[in-house]
Amino acid sequence: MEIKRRRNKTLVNNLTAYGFMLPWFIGFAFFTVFPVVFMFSVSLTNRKLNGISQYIGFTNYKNIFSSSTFRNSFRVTMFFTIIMMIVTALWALFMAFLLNRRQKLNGIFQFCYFLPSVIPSVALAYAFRTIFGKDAGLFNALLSLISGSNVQINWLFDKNTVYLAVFFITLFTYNTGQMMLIFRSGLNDVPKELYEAGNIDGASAWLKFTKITLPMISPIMLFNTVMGSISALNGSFALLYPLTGETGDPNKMTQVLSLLIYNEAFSNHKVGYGCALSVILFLIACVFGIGIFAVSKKLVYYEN
Amino acid sequence: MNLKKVLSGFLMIVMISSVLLGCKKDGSESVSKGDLSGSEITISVWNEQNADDELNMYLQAEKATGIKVNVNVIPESDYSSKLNQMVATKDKSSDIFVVWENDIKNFADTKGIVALDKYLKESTINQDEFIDAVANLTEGLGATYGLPWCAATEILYYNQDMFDEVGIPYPNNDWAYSDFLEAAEKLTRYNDDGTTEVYGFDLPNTQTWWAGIGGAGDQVYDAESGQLVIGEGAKSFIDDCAQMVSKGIMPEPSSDTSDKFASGKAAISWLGSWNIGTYSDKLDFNWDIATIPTDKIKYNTLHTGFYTINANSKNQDAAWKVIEWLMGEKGQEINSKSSGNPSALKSIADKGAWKVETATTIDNWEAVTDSLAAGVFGYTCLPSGVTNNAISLFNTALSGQINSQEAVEEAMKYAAETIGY
Amino acid sequence: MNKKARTAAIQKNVIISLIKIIVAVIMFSPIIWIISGGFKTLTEFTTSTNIIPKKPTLDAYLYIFNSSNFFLYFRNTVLLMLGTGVGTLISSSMVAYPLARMEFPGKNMFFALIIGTMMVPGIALIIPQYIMFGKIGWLDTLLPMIIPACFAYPYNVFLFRQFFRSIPKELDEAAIMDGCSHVGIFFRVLAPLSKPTYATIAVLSSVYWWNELTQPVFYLNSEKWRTLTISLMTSFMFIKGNTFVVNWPTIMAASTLMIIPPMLLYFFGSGYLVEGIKTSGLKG
Repeated sequence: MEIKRRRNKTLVNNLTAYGFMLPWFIGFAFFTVFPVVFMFSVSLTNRKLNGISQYIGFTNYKNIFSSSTFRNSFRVTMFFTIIMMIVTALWALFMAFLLNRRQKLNGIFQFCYFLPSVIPSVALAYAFRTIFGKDAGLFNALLSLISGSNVQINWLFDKNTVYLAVFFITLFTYNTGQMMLIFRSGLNDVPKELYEAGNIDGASAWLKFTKITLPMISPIMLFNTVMGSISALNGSFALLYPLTGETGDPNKMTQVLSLLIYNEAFSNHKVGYGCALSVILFLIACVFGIGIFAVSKKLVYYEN
Repeated sequence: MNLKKVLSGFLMIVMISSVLLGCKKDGSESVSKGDLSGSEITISVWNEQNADDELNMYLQAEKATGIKVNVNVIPESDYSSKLNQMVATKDKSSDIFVVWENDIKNFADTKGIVALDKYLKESTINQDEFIDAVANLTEGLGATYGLPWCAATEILYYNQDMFDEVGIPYPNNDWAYSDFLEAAEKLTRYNDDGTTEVYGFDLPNTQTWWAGIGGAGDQVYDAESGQLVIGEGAKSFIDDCAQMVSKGIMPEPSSDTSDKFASGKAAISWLGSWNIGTYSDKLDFNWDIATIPTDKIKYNTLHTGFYTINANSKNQDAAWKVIEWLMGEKGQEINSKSSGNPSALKSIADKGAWKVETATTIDNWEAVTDSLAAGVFGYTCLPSGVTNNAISLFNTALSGQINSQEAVEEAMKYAAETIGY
Repeated sequence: MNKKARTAAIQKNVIISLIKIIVAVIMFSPIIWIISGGFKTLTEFTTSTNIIPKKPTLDAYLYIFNSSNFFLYFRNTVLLMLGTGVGTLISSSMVAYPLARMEFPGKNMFFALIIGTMMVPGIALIIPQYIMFGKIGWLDTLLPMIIPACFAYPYNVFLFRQFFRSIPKELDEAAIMDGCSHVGIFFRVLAPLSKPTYATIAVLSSVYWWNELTQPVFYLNSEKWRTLTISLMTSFMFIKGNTFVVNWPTIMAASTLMIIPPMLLYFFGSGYLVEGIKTSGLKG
């Protein structure tokens, strides 16, 4: 009797738990597992945008790996993701440092530093298309003022400056603002006693930074920058599509995989090919994800 | 029990949101034949309508037919792909598509649009009236699927004041390409530090690239294979442009695109004929038009779009009524007046409504007829991804990052990969 | 004795303040540029770099309010925010509950899977989802974005779980003593206690969907359900009657209007926004 009741109780308990999780089961099945399987199966066809398709085996993959457009896009994606990760993390850390110095008007400063990251990326992209414009761009005007000569750099179309401009623009994205706030609270959590001990030892500011601050916040930093790389894979579309277009001007230098997928599937009507590209992007994300797990196991403790 | 409540509440929300969001779409009631006034249709196009109500042909169509006409504007850059998506997914939200040259065959083949022959039989629209190129393009579809809404082309716009200042004779419709190059150089004004103040020439749009390339002797589009065919002509035109860019005669493409001709920063510009309607009396200098200068041959791309009826539309009869009015004398007249594009119907075009009245500085109206006579269907028959990619490559070549040879080869390779898919 | 040290400290403070101001100017410049651009004429915008327009004009705003479908786009965006917000709040908190407070077989595996799907960028699955939604006729509506939100976003599940775990377990035990079931605990104890959490995630979700561009670009075709972000790339992009001349002032004016809500949110709900983002950072 007693055992049976207990067993009943666990059964009810388990069923309740699964009941609560039902939305996720459904969502996971329909919006994650099925699309992954479906994506792979479509990637083996020459499906066009109008829905006509034929099984062609691994031809899409063969074409992808022999395509210079893809190789370029793969390089650009890796380059863009990793550099964006580093640049935005450093800038966020810098701003967090500035804001964590207790001074007057910090509220206003945080507002100015943070607001750009919660405005639409399209608006940001269009603003920067004109700020980095050649003839009537704000940036060139400033440089002209400083240098005294008429500066006419075509920032977003010149192969020497396009990355400078694009990475500068990533300083204004959600990633940066988010990391800044996280680093701020991370910096606040560094025990004051450590700094005091450093002061007694007469350590220089740089020494304190490298020997105390950095080791204390590095787990948070590392974890969040790697997390940021996933959102960079995902979010680069929303920034680059309005900024440099689906062809990734100039000369495909900014054509990340997400733009290439959009371009192939919709402008060129090659949906099957687009699916094969998606499979590859999915695998790249998996590699990043496994990397995060490895890192987080070592460095971040879930309270458990 | 409580769990059930939660679940049913949850389902309720899903259902409510789907009622709120999804089902409105199917609200278009079907209308019996004969009584079409009061029904409602949606037309998908790529350009915004004229701000002047008198020149807004869809508003006028609504008044004349009593059918409410909603306009769904999808911008040019996405137009073809979005339309393809709508056809592929049997979208019912639009009744009339204005279909581009490169899509009409595809849509007809997949039965995304309806054959108009049954309507045409009872209609006053005379198909023999269409200009020949249109007739050629739609041949081989087996039926008539679309009616051309206009016939537009590319022309040269020039700032007369600047020509006067420098003292060069105005261009005429038989202007030689070498004269054009020379004039562009002379018209350029430099600042003291060597940067350009006023450009001699601007090539702001994608479509005029093809006018230059075709004029330099390339075939551009091969109807047999459906392929992009460029070579020596493209190379020489890109080289000419790259040279002009390096000398500061022509601006290089930049992210803050602007109309340099309209703001008085460029003396000559190659643009579509529809800009006559946009400029009308809004420019504060004297300007006129001419045929694009002839290099090897006179070459212009013919632009149109076809009024077609969505096969999944529930309001096909009403849609036809609106198309019939738009293709009729009044509809074509308003279209011509607002855009400056002649009608594709010869008899209506001959009446000259496209000579935009407010564009008072234009004398050389023959430029449009002359250009149209040389017009062929070219790059517009290629998938937009192919042409976008080619233009992106040409632009890269302008700044010297790759040479013209590489740009042309890359563009051809990409086209072959894409079209052969 | 410390005069030297004090002047050094003041100097340091001044230098840091200066740097702070410079960074603030850099970070805020695009917003100033956008706001000022909305009041310029097209010619002034493309030929000069004045921050204060020479001939300020309201044309762009008049166009937006009088002759465009701005309010339709606004309504669509709000509907999208509401639909996804309500959907994800209910479903994600439900899913998070057993993960935070119950023991059952497979719990760790499911949690690992949820964390795993968090890492999959949405853009990698968007093409198959696009085909799928096309098959069931949901394209060109807001459903492809709202319905998945009703089935729990892994990210929000994770956040809810973290929050739920911070609530003392004794409360549950007390409730069970009183004869409450788990369903009862969730609705009568946890959910009311977690109101700030719900508000935080609602704010984060709203900001996300207000700014979202990628999914609408893929799923929406026509004007009927166009959102504000898309309208910047379409309806407000070109001058009337000509699709080749970019109408920068209208874009800037519409962008200004789109910046206002996040700005207000920062002023009035900065607690939820800032604190929410801090916690979203997986400090562990």
